[in-house]
Amino acid sequence: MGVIEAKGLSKQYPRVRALDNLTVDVPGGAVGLLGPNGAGKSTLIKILLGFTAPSAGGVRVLGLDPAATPLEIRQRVGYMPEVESQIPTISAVDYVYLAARLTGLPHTDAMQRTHCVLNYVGLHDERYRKIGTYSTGMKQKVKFAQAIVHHPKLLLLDEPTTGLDPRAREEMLLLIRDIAHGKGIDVVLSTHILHDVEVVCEHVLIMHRGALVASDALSAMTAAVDASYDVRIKGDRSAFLSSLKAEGLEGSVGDEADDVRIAHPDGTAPILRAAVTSGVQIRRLTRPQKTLEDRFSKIIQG
Amino acid sequence: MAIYDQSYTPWTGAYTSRAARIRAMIAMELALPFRNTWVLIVVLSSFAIVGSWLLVLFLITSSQVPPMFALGNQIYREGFFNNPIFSMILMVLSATVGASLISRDVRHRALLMYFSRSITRADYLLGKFLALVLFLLFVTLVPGFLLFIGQFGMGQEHLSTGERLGDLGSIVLHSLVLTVPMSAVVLAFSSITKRTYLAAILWVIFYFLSSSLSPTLVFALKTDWPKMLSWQNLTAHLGDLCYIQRGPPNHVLDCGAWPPLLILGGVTVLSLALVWRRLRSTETEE
Repeated sequence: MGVIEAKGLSKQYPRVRALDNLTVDVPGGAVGLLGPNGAGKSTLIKILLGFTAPSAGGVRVLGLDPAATPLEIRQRVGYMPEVESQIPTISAVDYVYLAARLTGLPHTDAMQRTHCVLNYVGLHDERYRKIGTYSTGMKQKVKFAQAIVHHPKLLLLDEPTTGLDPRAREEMLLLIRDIAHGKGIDVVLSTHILHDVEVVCEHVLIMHRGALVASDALSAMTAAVDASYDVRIKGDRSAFLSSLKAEGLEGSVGDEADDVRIAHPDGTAPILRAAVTSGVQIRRLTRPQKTLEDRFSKIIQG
Repeated sequence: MAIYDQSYTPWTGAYTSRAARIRAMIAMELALPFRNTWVLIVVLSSFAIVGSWLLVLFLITSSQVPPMFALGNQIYREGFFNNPIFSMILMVLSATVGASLISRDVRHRALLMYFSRSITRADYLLGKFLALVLFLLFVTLVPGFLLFIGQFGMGQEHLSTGERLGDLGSIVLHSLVLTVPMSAVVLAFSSITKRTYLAAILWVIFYFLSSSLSPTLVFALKTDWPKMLSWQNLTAHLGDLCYIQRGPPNHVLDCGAWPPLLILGGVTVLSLALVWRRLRSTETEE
């Protein structure tokens, strides 16, 4: 059973249909929820947290119905919103502690957890300063800390790396990866930044115009295009192509001047033999990979 | 992950009740004003009024004929709760503390944090409302109790235990008359704007407008009913009626308890309904 199960989920706003008959089964682990702006990702998160009710269809989060038991779901789910949602006049300790208490942690546990998660995200003495004095990276860490303070079973992250510089971005991605793979918390990472998903997630959902258009393991989405090889050589390319032909292989000119793409070889041995025969040096031998971006663009445009 | 503390351990305790969650919100909101020096100064000024009265009570203990203000319960009513300076202090405190309660959360989108936790919109509203009521009660009740103790120790009237307890109950009721409607109205102003200063200004305008409009209309229309438009008149009149009168009654309005009770009650309910509506629309927008 998936952590989120939606069936025929639709959400109609007065002027726009945000979700259109969405059916999805989100598995555990780290899942990337991809989609261009307006794809319906944020609306889906709102429904999952019980902020708004769907116009049609049903959804279950961790086996619970958000419309019927929103408070129980919010005790089991952590949410890191995209926008700043901190109170700038209080310290990170007060803010995260308040979040813990409002979730239902007793005073002592809440204070203990507050310091535990602030240590974890790397906020040390500065945790006692007012949040209004923090950098964007520190504010994101506070948001992340409040989302995990009650050790949720499921963590919903809405664009967690927005506005971060490269270093802060890497730190945030490391944190998300660790929480998903080392702390037993399932993560749904909603973003339009494909790199973040590639770094963190093992499963990808792609939404477009309120519907699910792809759902697969990241490895499957970025699997080799076909059984071909890209070879970079140093030497006479036409001699190499002739030798390949003699080996029964079809070679074609690649992207660069020294590149050759070889279709459907039976392993690398015939390629190496052709190189020896033609007297060329092989500088690189790789299987061409699709990037997530390739796949994403194809799905969105197609 | 070497750069991060690896002492993270899962939490597996039992959740507290909803009441405990609301209490936590109240505790946080109550703690914040006391970290503000200016608020503390204003709070202390309300204690200064009581301190002055205690000093006066001490000075007149040896007087053969106690002055009128030291008799009955006038010292609570006229000396403290309906004292114009104290009314001003209460109005300023409610503006500085209450105006930010919801406007701040809306401005900084902190509602997203609140409503992603295990509380409902009603819990949030109740928490904010009670936080403001309790804060204002601290400013009215604690000095009121101090005055009661002073009157008990230094007053020259021989009162029965029942009369003493009656005064104590009256002090609590008068405090509630002052703080409950005021908290609701201030919260309503706080919910209609993201700008705290604007919410505070709106409340101050409302307060002074009601006070100035009332005598103007009484004079212009040659009738008494516009007296009920004044916030101060309504609370002072209803507050006076909380006491078992000993000595000359000093009613502000020529009516019983019901008209001001209905007006203040109606304003309270309408204000809370407005906050509820605003929260619902803001929650949907977020």
